[in-house]
Amino acid sequence: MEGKARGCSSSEDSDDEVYLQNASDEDELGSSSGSMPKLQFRNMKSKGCWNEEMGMGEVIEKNGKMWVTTGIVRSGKIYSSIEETFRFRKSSPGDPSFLLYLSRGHPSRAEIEALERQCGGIPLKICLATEGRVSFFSFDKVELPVLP
Amino acid sequence: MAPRWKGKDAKAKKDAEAEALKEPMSKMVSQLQSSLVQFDTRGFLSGNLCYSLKCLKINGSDTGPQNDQELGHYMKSKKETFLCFYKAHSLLKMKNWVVRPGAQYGADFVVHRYHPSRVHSEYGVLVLSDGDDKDLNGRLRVWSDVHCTTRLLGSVTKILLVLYVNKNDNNNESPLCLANYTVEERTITR
Repeated sequence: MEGKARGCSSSEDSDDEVYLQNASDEDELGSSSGSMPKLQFRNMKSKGCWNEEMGMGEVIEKNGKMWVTTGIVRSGKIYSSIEETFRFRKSSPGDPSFLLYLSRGHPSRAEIEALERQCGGIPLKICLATEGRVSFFSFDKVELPVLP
Repeated sequence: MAPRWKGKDAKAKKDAEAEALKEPMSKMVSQLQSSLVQFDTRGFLSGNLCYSLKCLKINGSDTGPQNDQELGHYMKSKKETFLCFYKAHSLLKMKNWVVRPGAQYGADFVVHRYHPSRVHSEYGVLVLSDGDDKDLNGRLRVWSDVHCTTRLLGSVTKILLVLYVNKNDNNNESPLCLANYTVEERTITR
């Protein structure tokens, strides 16, 4: 049930970017380095195997400080979710999971609709913060199904 | 959310599921409708049966059956938001959900996917008027209302469903203007 081996490289310095490197693509990357963005190989390389049952990459060999704060522990093993396994760059992070609107008063339905139009399809959450207590509310448009 | 079947053990829940799937609500409503028409039944309540399903007549206290106009006017004199509630209730019934009072959960209605004896309700429903009648129902005006309702319903494994009813400038009191009302459905989760 194990997929292709994957590796993540990390470094001890303050650089917090994480690069994906697929071991079987190493030669390909080398031969076509002109057509792809150049990957920097770090000296602290971790190794993982994709675990189909878990739906996550199991980290077999972990190096670097990033595993102190990264990964999911199950039964004494550490796993990496698919989002963590993909290449992530601060300079090009992709779409966010949701946008957060900090609100003091309770917005009306019309106000929520206006906010949603500004979000360009990304989910919106309304944030309420009062005296240190923070709540994220989703006001999701739904279509109640017609039952048989 | 999968339906939460009622029953004291796994087998009883399985039986409830089998029975419910065999008798969907649309079939039950159809049977009720034909039996009421057949016996020319009359009653004093249930606008849904009278107006939407056309199988029940409402008598005034000393007159014959009232028409839709008279009935709508009377209902609105008793509860200003009646038409909004009726529109929301009609939408839920039209989609074959079972609609029951939701007062004990701090909501206007709760809705079941199948017969209430077999399955727990999935949503607590609040009806809010929108447009000109905005906030007429007096619910969810401040954040503490949102917290209160979502927490209460969450504690009994239901989701808050809000039906925003907009009458789109219809000031007619006849139920005929309900055709121009629009309803937007939203869930609120934390």
